[in-house]
Amino acid sequence: MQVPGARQRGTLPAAYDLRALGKVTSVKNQGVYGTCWSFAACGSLESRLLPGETWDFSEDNMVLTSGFNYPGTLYDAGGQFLMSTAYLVRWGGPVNESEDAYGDDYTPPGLTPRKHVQEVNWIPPRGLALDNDKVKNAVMQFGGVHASIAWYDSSYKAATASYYYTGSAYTNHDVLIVGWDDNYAAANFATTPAGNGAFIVKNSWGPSWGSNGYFYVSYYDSKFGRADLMAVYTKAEATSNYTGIYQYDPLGDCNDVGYGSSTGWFANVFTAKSTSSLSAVGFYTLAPGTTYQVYTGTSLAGKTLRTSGTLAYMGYHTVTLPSAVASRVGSSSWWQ
Amino acid sequence: MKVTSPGSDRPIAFEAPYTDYSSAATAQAGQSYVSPTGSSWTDLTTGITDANVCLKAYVKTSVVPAPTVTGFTPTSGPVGTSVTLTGSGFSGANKVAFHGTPATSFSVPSATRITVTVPSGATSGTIAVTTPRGVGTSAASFSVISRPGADDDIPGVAIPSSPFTGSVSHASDLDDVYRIALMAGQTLKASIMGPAGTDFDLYLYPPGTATVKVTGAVAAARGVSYPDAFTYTATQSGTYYLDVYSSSGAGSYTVTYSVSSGGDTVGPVCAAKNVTVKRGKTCRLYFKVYDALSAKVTTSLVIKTKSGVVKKRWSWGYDKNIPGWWWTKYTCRLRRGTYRIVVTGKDLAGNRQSVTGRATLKVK
Repeated sequence: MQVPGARQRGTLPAAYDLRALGKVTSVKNQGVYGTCWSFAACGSLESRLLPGETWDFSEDNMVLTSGFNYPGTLYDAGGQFLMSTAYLVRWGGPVNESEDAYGDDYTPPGLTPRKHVQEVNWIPPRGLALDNDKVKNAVMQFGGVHASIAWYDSSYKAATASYYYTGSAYTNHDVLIVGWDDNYAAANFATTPAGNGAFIVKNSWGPSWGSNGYFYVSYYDSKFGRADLMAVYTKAEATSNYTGIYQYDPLGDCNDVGYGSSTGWFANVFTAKSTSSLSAVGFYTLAPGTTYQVYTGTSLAGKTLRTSGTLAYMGYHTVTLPSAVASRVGSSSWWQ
Repeated sequence: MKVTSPGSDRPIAFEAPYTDYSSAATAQAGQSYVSPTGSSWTDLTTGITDANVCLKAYVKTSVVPAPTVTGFTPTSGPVGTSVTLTGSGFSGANKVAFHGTPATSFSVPSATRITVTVPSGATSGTIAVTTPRGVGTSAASFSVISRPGADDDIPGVAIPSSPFTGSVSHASDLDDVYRIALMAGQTLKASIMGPAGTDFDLYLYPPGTATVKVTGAVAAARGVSYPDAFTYTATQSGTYYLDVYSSSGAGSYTVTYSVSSGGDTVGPVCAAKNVTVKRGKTCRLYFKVYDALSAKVTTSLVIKTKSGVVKKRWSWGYDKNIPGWWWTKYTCRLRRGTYRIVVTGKDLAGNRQSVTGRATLKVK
């Protein structure tokens, strides 16, 4: 018998289910709107904080204050993990569901984030049907993983709440991976994949849909977790962690640039608004295993190495400085 | 910030406006820079319109509030009093002021406590604490109590030679009192000058006065213009008190005075009555010591043999000076014979008797 959550040393368990560990919040219902991405993102963040902390974050706030402008209304335009990452790491949220309820097309003014999200790990797409260790590790280590699926009703089998898509269409829906079962029978799907195995996935279509709101997606699905990066919102700290954030990129990672090399240097200059000390820097890494060096200084030429390291995951990272760098009001400081 | 992203040739994430996605993105020149090597840098907006690199800075502001003074103890006292302030945000305090007068001595044992000494020149009012983060002022006022000066009341200070100066204030230093010795009959002339707008007066209080804060002056110069003067001839010898009083205003004054030579140089006139008494019996010895210019006199009464051997002595300290007779009871145990009674005395000016009282005591 396979015990959910059990794990042999050095190997991944054949089956794993965050629900059995109390690390998934209740199934929500996005209704008629194209807001799946915010449900997946909030669900991931809530899952990450369980079982120690129980939260119900506001998808409404994330959608209505995202700052992005996909065509259509904010509710209908859709979105993806880059947008939720940008919203969270700029301290745009999260706020509580009770402060900004879903579906009323209204966000009260004056809300402040309940958490400071300092890290979002991005997991590379699955290369092959059984290239699942990275996402499985992320589920086990952090919690529910925000992933994209190409949803077509014909690939869904309601009787077993199972999904298996073999086409090449774009992904069009975001969901939350909360576990897996390597032995989930291939015969359960509408069409039979090459082998057994399925992810256990939390949807946002209400608890009466699928299997209490969840469904199974075949490892052999041609698009699920294979077309896009997946995300897990790994560090949500108390809002007392820092007293201020300086940034020019409220919309986050929109594109990338380089010099034909894996190495690049970049810098922002900020003017201190109060006497404070630079305690940490935040930035995106666009490949696993990125190495970094953090410099600070009062000019680009006069820079001092503060810290360095290697980051296993792609995504957004906050690196704390071993010793805070003092800055004075109005003085220009280059954070490199 | 240097990153090396294995397998990537575009390792730098940036924010920029893209149609139907991130149109709201904006940037200014001079914000974001990129470089291939970290040595020569390019402003990102010169290559990509409205682009900023994705690099945030997180800061911690040491949250030290501006100071607040919530209380102090004691709430009043003279210059030099040690006052303990309570409140918050006192760390780094660089100034403590009493109604604007900075203290020259204070210590900050904690962020919530300051010990300060009321500075010279301080006046009553609020106490303000200054730190690099602001100024906190007490809601209540500290009362600076004028420490009684040596010259504020009797006994005062010895009078300097004429002319002399000083200062008084109707608000904070009402009186300056000077001791001056006058002999009965001596005449004191004194005048005072003060600044325009003030009304300083002179009062002279007689020997034995306890305070200048009540009436009882024997002479005064209390006009409303300067110079303001009086002339007084002492009716008794002793220490008088010249009081400079500010009726209104404050400032320095000059007092000019002179004392006539002479005065009481004559000692009291003494007298005694002859007495006859039986040995072993009691009698009265009558005597008189009187000085017209002295309030008090001392008295000495001696019984001697004819050859001058003192057989009995009475002494009385300064007592009332009356022109009539005193007497004292005497039970005589002397042998029969004739004795001499001698009465002497001294006035307040220190003059010994001008006339010695002499009489005869016959013992039967």
